Amino acid sequence: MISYLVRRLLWIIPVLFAVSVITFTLMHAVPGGPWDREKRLPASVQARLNNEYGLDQPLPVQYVSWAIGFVTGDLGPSYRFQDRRVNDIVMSGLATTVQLGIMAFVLSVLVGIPLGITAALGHNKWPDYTSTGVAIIGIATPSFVLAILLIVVFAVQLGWFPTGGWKGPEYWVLPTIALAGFPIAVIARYTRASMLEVTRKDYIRTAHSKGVRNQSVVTRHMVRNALIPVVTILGPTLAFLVTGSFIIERIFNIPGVGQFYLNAITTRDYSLLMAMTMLYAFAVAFLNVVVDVLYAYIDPRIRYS
Amino acid sequence: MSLVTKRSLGLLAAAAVLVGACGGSATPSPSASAEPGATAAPSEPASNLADEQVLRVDIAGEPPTLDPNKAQDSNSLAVLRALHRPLVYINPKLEVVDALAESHTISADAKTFTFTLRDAKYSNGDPIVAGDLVYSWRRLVDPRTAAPYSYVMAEVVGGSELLAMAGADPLPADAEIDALLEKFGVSAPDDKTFVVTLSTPATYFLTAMTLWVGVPIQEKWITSENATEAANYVSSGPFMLDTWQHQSEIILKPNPNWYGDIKPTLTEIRMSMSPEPAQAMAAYEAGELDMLLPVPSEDIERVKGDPTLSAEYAEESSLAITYYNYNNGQNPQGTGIAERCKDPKACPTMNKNFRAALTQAIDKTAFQNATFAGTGRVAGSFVMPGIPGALADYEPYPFDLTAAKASMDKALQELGYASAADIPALKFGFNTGSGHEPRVAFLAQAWKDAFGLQTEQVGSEFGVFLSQRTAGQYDISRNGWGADYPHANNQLSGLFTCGGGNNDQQYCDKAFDDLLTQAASEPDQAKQAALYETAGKMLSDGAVSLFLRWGVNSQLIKPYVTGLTKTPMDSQVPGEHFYETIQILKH
Amino acid sequence: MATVSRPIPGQIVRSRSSAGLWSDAFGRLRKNRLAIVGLVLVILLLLTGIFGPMIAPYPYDQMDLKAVFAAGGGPLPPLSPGHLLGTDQLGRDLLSRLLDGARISVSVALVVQVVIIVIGVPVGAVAGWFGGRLDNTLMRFTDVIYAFPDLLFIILLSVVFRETVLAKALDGLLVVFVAIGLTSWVTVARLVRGQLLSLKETEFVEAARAIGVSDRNIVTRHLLPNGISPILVAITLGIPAAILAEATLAFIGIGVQPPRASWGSLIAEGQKYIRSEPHLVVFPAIAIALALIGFTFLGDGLRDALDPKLKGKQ
Repeated sequence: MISYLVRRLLWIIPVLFAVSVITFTLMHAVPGGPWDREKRLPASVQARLNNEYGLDQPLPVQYVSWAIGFVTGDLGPSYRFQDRRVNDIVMSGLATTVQLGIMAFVLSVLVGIPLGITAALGHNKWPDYTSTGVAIIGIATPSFVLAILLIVVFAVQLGWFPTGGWKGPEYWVLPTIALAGFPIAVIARYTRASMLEVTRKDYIRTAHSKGVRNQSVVTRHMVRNALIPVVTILGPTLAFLVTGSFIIERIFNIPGVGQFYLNAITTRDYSLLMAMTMLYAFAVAFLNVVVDVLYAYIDPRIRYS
Repeated sequence: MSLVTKRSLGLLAAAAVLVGACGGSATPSPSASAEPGATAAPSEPASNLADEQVLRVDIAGEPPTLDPNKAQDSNSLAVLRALHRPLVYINPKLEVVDALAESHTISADAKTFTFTLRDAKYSNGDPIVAGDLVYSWRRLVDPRTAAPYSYVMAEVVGGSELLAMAGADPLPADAEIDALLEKFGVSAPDDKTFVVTLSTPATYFLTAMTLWVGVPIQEKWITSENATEAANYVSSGPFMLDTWQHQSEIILKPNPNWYGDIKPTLTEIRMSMSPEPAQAMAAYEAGELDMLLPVPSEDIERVKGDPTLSAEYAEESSLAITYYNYNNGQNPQGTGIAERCKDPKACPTMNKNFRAALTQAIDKTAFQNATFAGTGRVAGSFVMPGIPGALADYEPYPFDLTAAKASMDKALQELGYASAADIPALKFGFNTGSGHEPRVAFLAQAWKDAFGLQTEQVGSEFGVFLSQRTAGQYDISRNGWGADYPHANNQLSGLFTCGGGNNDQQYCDKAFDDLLTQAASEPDQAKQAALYETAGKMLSDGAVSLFLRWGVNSQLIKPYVTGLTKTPMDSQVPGEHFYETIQILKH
Repeated sequence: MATVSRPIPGQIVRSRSSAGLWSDAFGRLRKNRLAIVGLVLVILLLLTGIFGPMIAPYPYDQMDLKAVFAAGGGPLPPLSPGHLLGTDQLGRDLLSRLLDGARISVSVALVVQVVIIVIGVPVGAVAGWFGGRLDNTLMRFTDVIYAFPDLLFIILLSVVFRETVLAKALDGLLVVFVAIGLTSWVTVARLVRGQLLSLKETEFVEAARAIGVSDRNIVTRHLLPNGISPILVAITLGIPAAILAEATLAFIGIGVQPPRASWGSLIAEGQKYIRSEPHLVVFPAIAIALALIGFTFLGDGLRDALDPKLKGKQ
């Protein structure tokens, strides 16, 4: 098990390398550059900036110097924010984005799993219908629509929460709900489905027939087994939270790295783009490994060679 | 602005000045007033003022830099105008008045400007000396700084050589650059005197000096580590940079060493940086912002219909223009016809009657009503009203479908097409994600209805769009311009001159360039304005571009904000040129 | 041909005759009310996508500025004369644009899944069947694709290929669909691989080999048809993701070329008017919601119906 874990973690390195090469190539294949403005810079100034930032070097040379910097922890200067280093930009926004992601994840698990369980236990009765109803809303509403609606209703018209920013706990509520809407629905449905499946299992009937009390049957057997498929969709859920944060951060004016990501693409801030792509790729790859390990841990029937 | 034009302008101006200088008359100082800003001092009695004098505004995104020499984006400027003041500044009537300078004189040949500085201090207590101005201007033109607005120094002695050096690869040795900088036409004979010498007369130079790039900068400040972070920032204006939480908030507080006659009443200005205009609008409505500029055009109708909001709503003219380029056929360098237009049939927009027809087919008022919520002022020429040399009511091609068809028939005959429907679809370029789709759709539909003309609407990502437009790949494309400084030269040169750095209409006409050169050395204001008017008429009569509308600043201001000194140059915050006059009433 | 096999715990194994399996599953599906609702919605969407624009009252790009100006400017509300669902600020009928957008959503559903199948199935099959180093290499390759932030990839791809024929096809949407497909095929590949890994050890495969059936035929004629159900489910559940992806991209300005509109771009345009003319957001959002619900419930139903652990237990 340990060797499997170590091997998977080591594999992240070549994966990141491949991602960096693909991103770098695609990035420079796109027309336009970091100095583009509606009011054009004089050609000589653009040439000078290209020279200063090394953009006039051949691409492989540029890649190598980026890679060396990356490995030594220097992510380079930002092309758009000329007085700042990418390290600073990422550091200052990272904590915010991670916090938002974790809160949305916790919310989706705290709401989704009980929702699914009550739906399964009250199968085809009103708890099932209510929870299905909530799930429908969560699936059917794109996160940016949910975000806009939340702002209009709760921030502008009711004034219960601020419209944007990230300056205290009251700022966390609406973005977290907007981001968690879809995962709540997905987790609820998966939990319900796997709980229903588990109730039909032989060992549950055996336990029942032996007279074991209902409560302990639920908690000990059903929940543990029902969690297996939920762990399966943990991966895609976390991936969704990661990419969903781009739009949510933008709509709610949250100073995290996600908001910068979309801008970095448009403004061709190459170093910022590379840094954040590597960050996301690492996060997704790492979480993938974690999910696989958790999966093996929870289901004793699965063992990896 | 491209250096090619600047140099040719310079040579021609040198020739022109021999004629002009013989007149012997000194160029009059542009303004009589001596007070900085010449604005009205706030007059609210203290009993009406709120206890908390805090202003909350939004600047639509994180400023890429707050280095005065290097800044170019409007959100940087919204902050810089509070932090620094140049030697001369504009007033609400767009006149140039003394600011840091107590007085100034201009030599008879209009080539030497001498400024006498006020007694003034930076926020750190150091005196503001002329040497700091010399340092700042040298740094601006220094090729190693790579400042976007360095081109305004082109007329200064030695300026064009230094600017040309920026494109050299490899860069000349430091010693060589420093030597040239020593010879650069700025000097400080003493701490209170600053002298600028131009190599050619440039009548717009004084107005250009109102830009944010020429403010005094201490060498020891800007070369220190993390100079532009709040902890280290040294300002010379009414406010100081108290906090800069990146991507989140900027907080400004009054500068105790501010030398101006009007001291700030505000104790704090809080600037948020919303990337999404809808969020900023929501923030204003929720009471989180005190002012909002601009109001998203989709909300304007609702605002005007709402009893509370309509009272807070205002429209002020701004020095901006919405216009669409026709491809006039020249290559980007301005040296001849572009490859793709060698066959005139391939580039119908090269034909003047064709362009005239397209212009006459557009009901500009309807366009404005449909796609700008009715805000703006219909334009028939480029230079914005309020700037000397503007043609506020000149429209050689008003909306007239009959005349349009007549022009189109002429064009079709000249081009050799039987009907407009035979013309292969024109490439109509625009950038996505910025709300241009309805405007492009409106125009395309109008031309289809009038002539059966087919257009292919090509929406691209911004960077891609820019490179395509610069390369002349579109027949028609959207564009826009906002004045850097309120002088006709800033609006026309570089945009319509041959090979101009911002020339996206592939236009080139020597006669036009000559007019601008003449105007650049014409000391008499009235004659100067007349020359610019003639140049402007050339553009309008030639239907060089589709001038649609001059912009307005649609803004929302809470009723308790008072003392605003608005100017048409405001772009991000109402009254952003004079934060020191703003006051908050009790509410 | 009914054969017996020992299912390996924890993995989905199919071993009954095909005919009996499908009728069994369909019976279960019929009894699942939510799945029927989903099926109805999906069929509705397909019909709208195919025939919608023909029944639309106006062409999707036709403007009615006279009516807009007569009403004082701005989008027309629902139940305006001639415009059942209202218009946008240029007077373009919302119902017609929604019907045209259905076509785009159907294309998303089909094209993306075609890309996923064309890439994912062969990759997964090869990896699962041959195992060993080939499997390892392919799985690491899929790791790279999986780790790559899809949004970035899609944006870069659609921008890089701007000027090619690919980009012009389908009003700029084809390249977006292909890009979405390219980032989503990993799940199907993994599923197929998993199926093959477990199935290839079963006895009936040994028997087929003993008879002399070629490897390729074993995979294509025996294993894949038996293993297809989880793939089918994955595809059905992958469609909502693709529709959402297209809507999100349209929201940030990538994808369909104006004047055409997808439901996502309609929402992006309409959300600016949400305070005064909410119909511009509400109707496209409802349309997306119905499509998402339809495919999700159908997929859930298929999964429940085809699950072998439920067989014979209803």
